[in-house]
Amino acid sequence: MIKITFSVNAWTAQSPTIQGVDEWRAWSEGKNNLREETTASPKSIPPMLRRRLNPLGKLALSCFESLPEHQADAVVFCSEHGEVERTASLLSAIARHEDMSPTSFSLSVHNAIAGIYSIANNYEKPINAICAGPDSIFTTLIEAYSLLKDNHQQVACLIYDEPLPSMYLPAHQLGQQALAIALLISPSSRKAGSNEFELQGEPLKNTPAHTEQTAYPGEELIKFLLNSDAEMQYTSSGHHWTLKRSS
Amino acid sequence: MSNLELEIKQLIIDSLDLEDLSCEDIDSEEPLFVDGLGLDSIDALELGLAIQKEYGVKLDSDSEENRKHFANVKSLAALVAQHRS
Repeated sequence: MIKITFSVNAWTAQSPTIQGVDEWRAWSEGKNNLREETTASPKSIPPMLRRRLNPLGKLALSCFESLPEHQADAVVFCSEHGEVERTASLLSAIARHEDMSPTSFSLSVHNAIAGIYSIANNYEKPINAICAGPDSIFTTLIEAYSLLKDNHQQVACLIYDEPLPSMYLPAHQLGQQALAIALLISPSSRKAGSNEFELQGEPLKNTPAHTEQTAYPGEELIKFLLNSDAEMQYTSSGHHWTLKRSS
Repeated sequence: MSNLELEIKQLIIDSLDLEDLSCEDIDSEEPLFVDGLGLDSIDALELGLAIQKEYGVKLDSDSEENRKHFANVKSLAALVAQHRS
């Protein structure tokens, strides 16, 4: 079993219709406070680089730059599928025997958004990009914890995914709308009043041959972060995860 | 400005996602790459593909001539016009 503890110093989240912790709180209380759907525009990315991001990349970096005290010694990017619309359009072009867009091809790697972030911000500290299927969010926290153990004082996690294009449905789905969550974590301080968390991960003894698709855990993570009493449980095809407050 | 130059400016804006620019912002004689508009090597490939799709102009990837054709909007318009005639 895996068991780690850490502090969450700050967090924020963004969707095309909800921005920032206060709006997410209202959303979790069932208030209809949705903004008109807009494409995010991260201000820290110059226009000539910003045009290289598709709406999910813009949402992710816009969410990241709105994170308070956005100083991190390392960043872990996390996405199950990344800018999957881009991948789908490249595959469709191949299927139609057309030439692929060189721009899309160059940006179709998992760390493309991290790369654009680092170029625009002259960020020369460690960056990782995690993709671990339904376990992605939890393995990202473990990756961040490992970086803290390696003497990084504060590590940012940027989690982002969007609903899959219709060609993949109904085999797999990732929530109803694009979502980005940014967290700033540091070693567990055990100080009163700090935001201490514990993550437990237990491998499933019998991996079912065919599991039913579980819901994307992004919105569950937001609800958990908002509610001080909450405990978050999530079972993927290989692990059972429990995230809870430890102080 | 010729209609063809205007068309090519719009093609540049659309194919390269230059969402903040309009045709008036692009000078026909201004360099497209590095200085001037500030496009890069990926843009060169993307624009080459767009010109090929839109006008059927086949480009030889190693040709030294390409540098001249892709210098600015005016030279691209001349390339397309030459291909049409």
